[in-house]
Order: sequence, then structure tokens, then C-alpha cells
Amino acid sequence: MKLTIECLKNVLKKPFTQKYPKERPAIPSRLRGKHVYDKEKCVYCGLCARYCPSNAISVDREKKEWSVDIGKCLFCEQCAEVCPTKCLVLGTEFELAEVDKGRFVFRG
Amino acid sequence: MIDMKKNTTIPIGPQHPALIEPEYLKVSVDGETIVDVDIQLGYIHRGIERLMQDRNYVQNIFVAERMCGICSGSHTCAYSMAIENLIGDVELPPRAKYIRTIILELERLHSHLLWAGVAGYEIGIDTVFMSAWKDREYVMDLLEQISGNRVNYGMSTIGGVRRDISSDIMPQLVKVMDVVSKRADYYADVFLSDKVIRARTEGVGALSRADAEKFSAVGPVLRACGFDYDIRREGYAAYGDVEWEPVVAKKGDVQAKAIVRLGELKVAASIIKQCVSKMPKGDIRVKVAPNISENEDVARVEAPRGELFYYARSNGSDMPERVRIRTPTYSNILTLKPTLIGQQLADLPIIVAAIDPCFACTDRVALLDVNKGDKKIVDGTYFRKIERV
Ligand code: SF4
Ligand code: SF4
Repeated sequence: MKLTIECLKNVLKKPFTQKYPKERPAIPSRLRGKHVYDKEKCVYCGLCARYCPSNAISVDREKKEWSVDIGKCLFCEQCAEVCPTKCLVLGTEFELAEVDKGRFVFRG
Repeated sequence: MIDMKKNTTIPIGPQHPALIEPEYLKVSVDGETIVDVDIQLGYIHRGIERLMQDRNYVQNIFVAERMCGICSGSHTCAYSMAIENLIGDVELPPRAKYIRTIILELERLHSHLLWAGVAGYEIGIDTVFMSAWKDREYVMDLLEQISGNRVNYGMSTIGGVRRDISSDIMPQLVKVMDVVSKRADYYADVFLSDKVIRARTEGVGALSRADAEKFSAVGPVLRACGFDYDIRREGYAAYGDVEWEPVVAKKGDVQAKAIVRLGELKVAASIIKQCVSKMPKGDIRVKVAPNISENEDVARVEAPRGELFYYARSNGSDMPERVRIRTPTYSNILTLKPTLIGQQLADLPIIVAAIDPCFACTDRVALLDVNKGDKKIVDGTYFRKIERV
């Protein structure tokens, strides 16, 4: 009986779910999305690569190259946490699906 | 011995609509009654413990987190505690302990609400499924605001927590807790009073006290058999500072397991509210050195499904030499056999769901010769021997 009442109440309500992607979800301020990297500030220390659990980041000190493979990334934010110059943060871009694997590599 | 000629054997799994994750239940039935069951696991072995030996202590936080999608907070917390014990003299800031407690309890809330939904679904009452999952969303939204993610929050770290809970989320936390405790009362009432739910849960899949002890059941499954046993009593994180009592039921059947879990919703909500009001100010983490000298230690956490156990051994480098994890389902799965025998085949899904199994977490040690189908029984010496390898 209690369940029937619950059922009937819900018939009169609007759907609880969001119609994504038509309806845009509210983005939480702490969302961990795609990396935002400032090449100017990077000192190529390689700490981000050393602490990345999925070995997604590669840093080449000599050639001054930095890249992250978003396809491997777990969005844990550890790289941004250890970065000494704070030139690396995780932004709020989260719709990262790609058809071509190569496009997952982001060079900043 | 079971007469195989008379009984029919029904394979359930490895892939089966009634099961959420792959496992294999070989069920022998006489008519509709289950007479024997053989549980075979190992279909989702991922080699996580080995993976941990190749990564440093910080990287392993995130490996541990990915043991389980639902208890990820418990896994990081247990792992961090094990490593803190290894180091020895890490004194966590009080605020970090409170934040850990809030995360662990929010996780228990969403896990138990998810379970209530699954239980409703297995019984065939989709209204319970949909409303429980709707209420779960309020908790998930909170977790998302606090940590940035709905799952794999990445909150615990060695020496504290990684993110603070800002004071403007606190009022919302309290508000959601009030809503959840009201809903917990409602679901408990529904599970006890609805005729259909009662018919499907009362006296179904009862686990006796003796069997619970014999098979070392943990968590809500054990507490549903009348044992007052909860790791949170040890007072890790901030559990020593707040007032709470474990929920215990007597009968050990599906209904008792439901009552324990739904009761724990209220307890969790009250723990969170107490944490919010008592929240100390200050730092949220202390710095720890990357290398850990030779040592071994353990940590235990009461995950939503029961006791979660971590063992870690260090060798002076920045990587652990060995991490061993025992998840709650590993203990609870053994209780399926005594609970299933003598039951109706149609009750199998709800009886299996009642232990709230998580097979991906459990698949770590399985000694099974698939070709011959024999199982090997191993004792502790064997494990000690292979652990050294
Ligand atoms: S840690 Fe920061 S500064 Fe160092 S290499 Fe990575 S992005 Fe550059
Ligand atoms: S967010 Fe985590 S997984 Fe992704 S690149 Fe940074 S450290 Fe690696």
C-alpha cells in the first residue's frame, strides 16, 4: 500500500533524471577534467610523470616537451598536486570522447 | 552425496542476467528446491596486488581506489591507514580524521541505498529500486561537490586527506542527512510491512549463528545473525569521538540483512551530523617521506560490505614489497552455500544479492584447475610460502 502511494505520487511529478546532453548538468567546482597546462611556467622537473599512477604523462627535459595521454589518465589530480610551479591543473572539460586514439595525447 | 541422476544441474553464470558481475554458480536442484551449489570465482581477476608492487606508495593510493567502484573511499582509507602504520609515527590532524569519517559514511549511505534498490529489483518491485536510487543521487551529489567525482573520490592520502570540506557545503550536508534518515525510516517500514516484500524476504536464505561464525562472515551479514561486531568500534578515523551503536538483527535471513543495512543508513546520517557539528579546525594533512624503512603492518576498515583488511610490507624503497587485500565479499561469499541449500530456485537472486556481493574485489586468490574442475585446498603455510616469492 505504501508503495502504491509512492508510485502514484511519482506519476504526478516531473522526471528526476536530466536529459543530458540537451540539458547541461551543473558542473561541480572541484570537477577533475582535462588538464590545463601552462608551458611558460613548466620547469620540466618530471615530478608529475613520476607520481602519475597510470604513467600517462611523459616529460622530456632536454627537448622541453611535455605531454599527457588523456586515454590513460584516471583524473586523480595527483600530477597537479605535486607540480612545484602549479603550472598544471585539472580543468572542467569532461566530454573527452574521441574516435581516434592519437587525439587523446595532449601536448599543452 | 547428491544423486546427480535425480537432480538437475543448472549453470548460473559466468554471464547471467540475474548476476551483475561474472561468477559461476553451479546449482543442483530437485524440482524447485536447491540441493547443492558450487561457487566458482576468478572471472575478473585483475592482478591488482601485483600492480601495486610496481608503483610507489602515492601512486598505489589510486590503484587501491580502483579495487571497487562503490567502496573506493574505504579502500583508499584502509590503504592509507596501512601505510601510516608502516611508517609508524604519523599523527593525523584531527580535521583529516573527521573528513575521512564523513566520506566513509557518505559512502556507506550510497552503497546501502544502492543495495536497497538492487534488493527491490531482485524481488521484482521496481518502485523500491527507483526511489532508492533517486534518494542515492542526493548523496552522490554531495560526494561530487566535496570531492569532484561521483565515484573514486580520491580523498584519503597517506597522512591525511587531499581536499577540505568547505564550510558552505556543511548546511547542505545536514539537510541531506535529514532527508536520508527520513527515507531510511520509510524503507525500513516498507521492508517490514509490505506483504509482497515480506513474503520474499522473511525466513528466506537464513544464515544460522553457527554458520556465520564458521564461515567468518563479516559486516551486515554477520550483524544480521546477532553478532555485535563492527570494526568502527576500534575508533579509527573519528569513530572514537562520535556516538553511535552498530545495528544488529537476529534472524540472519534476507529481511534481517535488509533491516541491518537500512538501520545503518540512520546511524551513518547521525555520525555525519555529529562530525559536521564537532568538526575541528586546522590542517588536513601532514607530509610524509616517500621512502619507508623495512616493516610490515595491517589496517582494518569497516567498508559498507564488512571488514576490509590491508596488509603491507615495506623494504626501504618507495614501493611496497607486498600488499595483500582481503575484501568483505571474500568472507561473505562462503556463506552463500549454507544459505542457498533448501531454498527455492526463484529466491536465488535475492539471496545472492543479500550479501551485497562484489566479485571484482574478491577475485584475487582462486586456485582452480579449470580443465579438470578440481579445486585445491590450501592452508596458511602455503600462502606464507607463496607470499615470500
Ligand atoms: S610537475 Fe609541473 S613543472 Fe614539473 S614537469 Fe610536470 S608540469 Fe612541469
Ligand atoms: S590526473 Fe592522475 S592519471 Fe591523470 S595524468 Fe595526472 S596523475 Fe596521471
